[in-house]
Amino acid sequence: MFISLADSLGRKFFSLFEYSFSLFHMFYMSLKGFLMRAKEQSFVEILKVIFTQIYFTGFQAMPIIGMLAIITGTLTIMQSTSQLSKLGGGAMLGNLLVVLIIRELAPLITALVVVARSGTAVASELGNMKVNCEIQALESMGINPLSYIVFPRVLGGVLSVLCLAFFFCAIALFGGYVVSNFLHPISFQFYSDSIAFAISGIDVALFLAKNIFSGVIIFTVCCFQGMLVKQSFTEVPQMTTKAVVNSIVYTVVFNSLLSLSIYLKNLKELGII
Amino acid sequence: MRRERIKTIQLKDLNQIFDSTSKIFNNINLDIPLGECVAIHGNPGSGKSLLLKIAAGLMEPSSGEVIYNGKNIRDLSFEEFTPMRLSTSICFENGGLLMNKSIEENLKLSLFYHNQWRSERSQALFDKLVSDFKLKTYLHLRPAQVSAGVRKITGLVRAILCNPQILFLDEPSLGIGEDAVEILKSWINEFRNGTLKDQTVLLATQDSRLMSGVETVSWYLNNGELKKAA
Repeated sequence: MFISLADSLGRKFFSLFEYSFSLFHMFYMSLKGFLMRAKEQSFVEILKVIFTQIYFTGFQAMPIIGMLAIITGTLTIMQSTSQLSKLGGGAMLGNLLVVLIIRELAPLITALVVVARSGTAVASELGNMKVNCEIQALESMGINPLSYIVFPRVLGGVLSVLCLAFFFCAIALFGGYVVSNFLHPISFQFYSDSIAFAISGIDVALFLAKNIFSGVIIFTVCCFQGMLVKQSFTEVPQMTTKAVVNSIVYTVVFNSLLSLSIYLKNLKELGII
Repeated sequence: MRRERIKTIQLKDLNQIFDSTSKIFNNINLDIPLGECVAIHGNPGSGKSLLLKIAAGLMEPSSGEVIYNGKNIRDLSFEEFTPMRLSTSICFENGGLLMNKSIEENLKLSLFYHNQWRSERSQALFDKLVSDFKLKTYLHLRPAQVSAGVRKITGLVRAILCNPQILFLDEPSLGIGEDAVEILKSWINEFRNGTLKDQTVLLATQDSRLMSGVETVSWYLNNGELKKAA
């Protein structure tokens, strides 16, 4: 029984490694395809695809991100102030908000919204393009689908995720303050100073790392799964579901590992471990 | 990117197997005669479209070789094969149009992408083809907004617009009207008598309308074997 369990785990680990390598290979080939033929292909055509992706992924997602940010910001500010004042730690409000919103919630919620809205759209769009011979048509015209379809979507996706996460932070911190101020008034001077002093370089680095990784992995996974469709439209929803699940798993695991490493570093600095 | 003229296209020992049991091709060998119109006939499901896509380098056979200018295209990367690919063009059975672009954008995509749209020759050919095939009223529409016949004609015009040396046509007359078939026939003849001596059409069709009036070298694909018509 132990051997079969080990065998099963080994196979799963190997297939995960193989899948991750395929994703990396696709991302690398799309980047290489774009850079190698940068002079020969029309940059305007590539830009059009990038801007379209930014419009659908970034601009159109702003209302839902804004709504989630207001709710998240309000709840976090209200809960933090009430709990911290019980402990006499009101001055720590900025630190807590920065850690919760900038480091953790903004990258995670943004990634989940982008997976749900754009990841599914990209995977199903590419799947349908495969079935309709659109990918073959591009190849027949000497247009590399990796540099024309995949690369602009990944680049547009990364820029959109970064902008959306920044938008989330701004709305959560300031919109949340405005709403929570009706129920639990806090001085704006105190609030803004508390946040400004709490933001450090590590927060910015963590914010960028998490969002850039989320953007790359969501759009690479979704393009990869879409490209796996072979002949039938019935494969499209199956691949889309896999794209969503895999994107969420990669994003959550990466974000958690990054947060864990910073948490352990903090514990080490405090001499706890 | 510069085009590379194609001097030879050979299909060697092609085998195609689906689901590890059903064999579509059985050791197919063909030297495509350049400068001719080669027609491949066969019953529905005999593998004509598949053979065309394999010959165009869009699909890989289960085994066997597709050789362009003495090079097995399986060994070439996308970038290495592109100069030869740019000398070819294909019209798909379903048109193969990009659904998120208008008919006009579909037609111009390749020319824009390869920075060829500025040439007067491309613009003149575009105007002539759009006028001949009566596509002007559909230019601003998306493929989903037009009939299957218009999609097919758009795919055909897109293929011709690239001014290829080798033109692969997959059931080009299926689903299009008599007028368009006549225009197509005259275009095929005009294409073959064009400025270049080795301009070639590889045609997969079952339509007898297209065969009358076009001089072809005919092959029959039956039970996985390709045989020259008597």
